Amino acid sequence: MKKLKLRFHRGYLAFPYMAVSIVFVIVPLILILIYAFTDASGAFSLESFNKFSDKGTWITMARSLIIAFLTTVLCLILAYPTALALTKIKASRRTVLLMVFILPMWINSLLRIYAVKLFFGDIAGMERGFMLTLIGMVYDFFPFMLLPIYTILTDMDKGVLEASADLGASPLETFLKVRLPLSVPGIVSGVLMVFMPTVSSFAVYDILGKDGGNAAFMDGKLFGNIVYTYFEKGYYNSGSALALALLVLILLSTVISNLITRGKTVKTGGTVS
Amino acid sequence: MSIAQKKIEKIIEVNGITKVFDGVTVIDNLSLGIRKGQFVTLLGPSGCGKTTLLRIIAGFEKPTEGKVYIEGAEMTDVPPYKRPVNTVFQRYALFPHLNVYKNVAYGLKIKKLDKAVIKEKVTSALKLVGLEGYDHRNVTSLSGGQQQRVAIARALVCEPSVLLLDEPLGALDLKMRKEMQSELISMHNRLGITFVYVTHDQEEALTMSDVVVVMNDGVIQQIGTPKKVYDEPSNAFVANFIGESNIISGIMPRDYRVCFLGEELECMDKGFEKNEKVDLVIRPEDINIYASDSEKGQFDGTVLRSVFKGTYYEMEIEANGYEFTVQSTKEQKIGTAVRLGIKPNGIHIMKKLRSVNEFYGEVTSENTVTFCGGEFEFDNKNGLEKGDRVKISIGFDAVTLTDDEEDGVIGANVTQSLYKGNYYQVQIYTDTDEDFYIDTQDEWDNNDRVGVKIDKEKMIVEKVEDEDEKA
Repeated sequence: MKKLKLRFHRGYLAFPYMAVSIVFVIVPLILILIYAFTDASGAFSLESFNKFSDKGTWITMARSLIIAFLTTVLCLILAYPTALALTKIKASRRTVLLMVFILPMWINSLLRIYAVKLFFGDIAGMERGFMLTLIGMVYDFFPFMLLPIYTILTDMDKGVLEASADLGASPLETFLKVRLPLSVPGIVSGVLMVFMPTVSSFAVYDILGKDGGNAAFMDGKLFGNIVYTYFEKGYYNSGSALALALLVLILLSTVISNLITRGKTVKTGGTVS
Repeated sequence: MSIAQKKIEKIIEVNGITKVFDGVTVIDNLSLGIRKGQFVTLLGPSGCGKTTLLRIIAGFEKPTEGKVYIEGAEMTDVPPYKRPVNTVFQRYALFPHLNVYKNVAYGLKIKKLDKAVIKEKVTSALKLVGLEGYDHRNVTSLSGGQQQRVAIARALVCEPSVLLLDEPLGALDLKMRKEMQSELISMHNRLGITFVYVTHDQEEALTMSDVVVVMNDGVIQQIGTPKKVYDEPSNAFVANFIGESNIISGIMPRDYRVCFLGEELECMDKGFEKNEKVDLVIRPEDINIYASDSEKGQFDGTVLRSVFKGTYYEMEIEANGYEFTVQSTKEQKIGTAVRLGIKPNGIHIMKKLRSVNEFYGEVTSENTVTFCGGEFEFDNKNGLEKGDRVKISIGFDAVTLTDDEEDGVIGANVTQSLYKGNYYQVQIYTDTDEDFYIDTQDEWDNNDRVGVKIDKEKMIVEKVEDEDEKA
């Protein structure tokens, strides 16, 4: 008789996460889909998407995209040189310095935004509005840009950089022709990790932003705020429709960035045959 | 000849190079000149400083002390991208985001050459390494051998005065390695460029080079043609590292005579002091085997082991308490009694590196002295007092090694173990960066952690009066 054996399979390790993701990701997604395409009575309807016939919705979306874009660009401009500088520092000191940049992540995101309000608003005297929102966003999401770029730069094969210098390339040429192209996957991953949460963020605006009315294009609610308001007030159908639109937008940006990095996440250095 | 001319003849010259990494001396006051057009190999075990020396020539490391000249110009502080040398890296270091053509064209594009010229040069470089038609292939899709060819083409296409190769064939399998070896030799012959080649493979060094530079512990042990280094090793390290050899301790009673293993034999060497202790090298192929009743030969022996090595037999033959390694095309059965004969030109005499261990230390009490980071007992015959600076001389036979570090007074790492006839000469390295030589009956493996004990009867402790003598 064959003994019944319970064999351990590594795939089983994924079960806890699968359970969590079913409850917290899959089911809510399905609910959003259902709510977006039904009306208050539960019947199929495209009524919720009427919001997109409103010019204001488009303006809000454009504003969110612009803020997310600016935040991403600013984070990139700040993070790349920082990451590059960190790689040049001795490994022992590097960890400490990296901690300084990562440390804010240990603090609750809301507290960090309040800190920005306190410092730039109350102490430096800046008014609530577009600029303060942008500063808050950059401060909030900077580590998400820094980490992937830092990782790809420190993991880069030093031999490739030496080879470039050996072939006559000055440090600047080596940077432009080797280091920068090889760090593109890190940049793309940083861009996604900053762009996706900023485009749907609502807390930063709530604390640092200002509704300047129709006259002020950049001072106003963000897309996330509208979605949040709908859900808060119980308009699940409209909220879901807008959330779905946002989801599609993020999906599109992911697809585009995957197209950029396709074939670029190559190993550096040689292989042993 | 003027100084300038002399320097140009020597395409590379390093003068008094010392390199210290985190307090460890990797290269120790090394000087070397490399003549134009030569194929020079830096040969040595891993950690001997050969790769560091190459990286200093390439400009990736700055020497702690000393100067580097390339084509007569001082280059010590010149960054790598301004040096007229190109490197083939051990792990190829190809640009993974560029295809084969763009990898090879990289250096030429930096030089801003005309597109048509680049195309012509790259095409001929790829032809040289046998990769025609691979232009648009992704470098990561190539085999190790092909990647190495791209790396060689990428360096050669820049037409450097010197090509530096850092263990370029180390990652290839044996067959591919042999193939690339002969290709590199023919490339060197065709192009006339100076090659500086780093390897730990003595066979590779002997077959490929015009000149072999044998290194150990950051110091050059010998420079010479492959034949010279093999036939006339300058010391026991070189003899042991290059080829199979029997290394035996002996005494030179007078010129052209050497005593070892209880026999006195004729040799070709002279110029030693009377009764000077020496090391002998006898290559396995220089020992002749005769029948046990033969008139010829000097040693009676018994065959212990015999292994067929393809074209010859390698045998271990015991005679006068020593196990000779002997190579012969004729097999002798295990247990056979034989006579061994060694002709005068088969014996190579080398000066002993050191005949006694010397250290400086301080007397700490009536019968203890401290040196090499440990406190040892000694016989205080001369009435030395606490605080006296002393010189301690320890014979090779006065040291005992213990398996367990705790059993010794101090701990050390074994760095070398040489069979010297009927005993092993072991070199150990203490935690205070000092070397001990020890004669022992046991073989110790490299990097073994051992404890060190010293026989107090055989330890000579003398007071040092002059402070300068310590240095």
